[in-house]
Amino acid sequence: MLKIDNLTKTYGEKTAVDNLTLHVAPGEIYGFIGHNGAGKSTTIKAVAGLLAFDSGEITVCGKSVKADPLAVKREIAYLPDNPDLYEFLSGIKYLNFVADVFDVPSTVRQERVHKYAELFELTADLAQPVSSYSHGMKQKLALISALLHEPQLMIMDEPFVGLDPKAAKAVKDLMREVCNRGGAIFFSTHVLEVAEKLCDKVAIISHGKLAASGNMEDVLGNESLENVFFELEDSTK
Amino acid sequence: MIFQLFIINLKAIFSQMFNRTRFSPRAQRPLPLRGTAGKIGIAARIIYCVGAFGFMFFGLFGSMLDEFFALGIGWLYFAIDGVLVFGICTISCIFTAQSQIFNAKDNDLLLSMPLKPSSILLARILTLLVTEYAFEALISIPALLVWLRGGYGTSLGVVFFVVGFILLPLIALAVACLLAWILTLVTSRMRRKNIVTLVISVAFFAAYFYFAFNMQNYITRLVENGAEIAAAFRRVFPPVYFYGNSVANGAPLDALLFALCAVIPFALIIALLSANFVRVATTKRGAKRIEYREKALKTSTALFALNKKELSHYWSNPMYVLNMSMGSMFMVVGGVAAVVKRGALAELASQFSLLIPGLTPGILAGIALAFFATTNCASASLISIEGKSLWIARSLPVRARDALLSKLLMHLQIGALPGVFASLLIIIALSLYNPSELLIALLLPFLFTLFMGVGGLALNILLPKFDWVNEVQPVKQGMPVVLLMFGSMALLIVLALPYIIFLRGVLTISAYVWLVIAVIAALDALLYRWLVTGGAKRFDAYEV
Repeated sequence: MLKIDNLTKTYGEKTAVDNLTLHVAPGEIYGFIGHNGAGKSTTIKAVAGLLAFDSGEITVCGKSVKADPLAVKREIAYLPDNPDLYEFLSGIKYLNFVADVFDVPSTVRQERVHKYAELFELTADLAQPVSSYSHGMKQKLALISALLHEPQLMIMDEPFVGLDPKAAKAVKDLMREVCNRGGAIFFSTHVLEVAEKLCDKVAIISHGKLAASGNMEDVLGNESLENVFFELEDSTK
Repeated sequence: MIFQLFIINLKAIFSQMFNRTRFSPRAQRPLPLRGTAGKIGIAARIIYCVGAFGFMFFGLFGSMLDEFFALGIGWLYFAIDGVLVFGICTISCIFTAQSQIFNAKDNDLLLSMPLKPSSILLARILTLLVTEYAFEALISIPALLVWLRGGYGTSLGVVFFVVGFILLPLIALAVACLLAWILTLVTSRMRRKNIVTLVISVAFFAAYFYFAFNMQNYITRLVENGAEIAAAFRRVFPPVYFYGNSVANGAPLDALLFALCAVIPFALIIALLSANFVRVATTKRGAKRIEYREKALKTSTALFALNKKELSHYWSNPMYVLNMSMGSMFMVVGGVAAVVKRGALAELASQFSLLIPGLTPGILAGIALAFFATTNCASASLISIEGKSLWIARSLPVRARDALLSKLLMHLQIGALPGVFASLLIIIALSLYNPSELLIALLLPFLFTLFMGVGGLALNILLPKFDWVNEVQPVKQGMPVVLLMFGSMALLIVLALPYIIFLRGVLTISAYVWLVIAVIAALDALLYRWLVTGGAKRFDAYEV
């Protein structure tokens, strides 16, 4: 589904991501863990086509992000850590805008908006301008918009930040639903407990380099994810 | 602490005004604009503003100085200075006071700190006062210089002028704060507060332009009926009489009365605001909540969806509409005026034709509408105003070309539609049935509108600024907007000069305008070509 091969991204002298390779298969929830500034967001943005990279290759469903970014963007949904949405639109107009861009048929978009807005308890607020939304409501709206075109791959940067427990549970269920229909999830998080319980595979990035990756059981062994994370952090310092 | 907060506020204003970015082909992303180019841009802008206002007020004060002093009503000269300062400072400050005092984003942060609310308020008031002094200087310095040059100045008068200069903006600021407070309270629960603000702003601008266009009539009437008007002035607005008399006649008692008129209301307003600042700043506002009722969702193509989004953004901010579409408003007003006052327009055209033989009403209308089109600079900020939400356009499967075309389309909708409307009204009003004239009246404004669209977008692609705090910043203070404004003026001069200097005897005005149409059409085509190729490539390279 997603193949990142030898990805390197530099900002001037600083190497943000250094020769990173990881693959996400269909049906997998893949967690991406690292400290602040480790290179998680840079990697995620490169996958979403928001950042040009120096070397390496990223493909989604066999399509290259570099060579055919539009084809890749049609297959994915990207959710940033802090969704700054169009404040001047109402919630429903924002969703309709995204549906228009993805060319989602009218009845289908109607059904999906209804389904996900009910799930996140946002239906009543859809006529309100986005500028009046709380952070959590914006996060929910961004999630609904990400699901409107049934993406093959969802790329999420800290998706649980700002969500109430009920919405967080709904997101976890949705992530599994996406995988059950053959899609995949690649997301970053700081909440190690969530990653440990939710992910099929995990990658730990430290100072731009991949410190560990693989099935959750293989990476953990007999340890908790927290212990593994701190051991790897210490060893890469 | 007040001083530190004041300095922080000032730094924020200066940083928003002068920190620029440009697209770096080497880094393939926007980088801060430093060095000579940035400094030249800022200096040119300051010189232009100071020069334009200075020139206007020098002329205004020069035209009334001798008459007023000869009639023995010299105080009216400075009273008019006072009224202008009061009017312009009040109007310019209302919306700034509203956003910086009552709706400031950092109110919660500052109120959570161990700071007195009155200190926060005073720091903001002082910042507003600095901007008021800048506006005042543009009006009062020319008034002072004309007065001194005329030989009417006295030492005591200069001293009282300085006192007046310091205190006059206090009256304007007090009134502006009060109006901003009322405006905030009135609009806080309104759903269509943008439209209310827009209507109020347009009314202010209309009043200002009406006043400016009739200035010469007012001065003539003042000179003719000086004594009567002066007496009325004194009754209706005593502070400016005190100010005028203290400076013109060196009257200490009037200086004292003026000082009291300025300081007491200001102190009262500050006390009132201080007592209510926490309540006003922390009151949860918002329009009445409307519950969503599910209905069929209309579909559109990606390009049309992007265009609808651009139009929604445009109409969401009254300051945006006002700053970027003044030309469109003038076009509509001009078109309607052509119908209502068709005789006056025909007369104006015949007067112009004495200066430039062959200048028919149709050609004159085309030139006037094209000039208005060059004051619409909306396109030069359409990329910058994406700001932090740029990630949406960049992560969706949208071609950069379409994203840019949707913006160009929006510029044409707000610029070309009023232009065509005005052209048609003028064509009908003046019965322009000559095909050449008719085409000039339609084509010339349209091509200039298109030039402003593609040129503005090209400039904004090269000089984007995404890190603004308030979206009025890229719209009002953005470097691409300033460059587009200057560039279009320069283009008009460059296009007009050859005909005025050496082509008048060679070509008819009609033939020359067709030549200009060909040049602008070629420029439009070139810029459009770059926009959808090189420009789109650069847009795609922005890193989010």
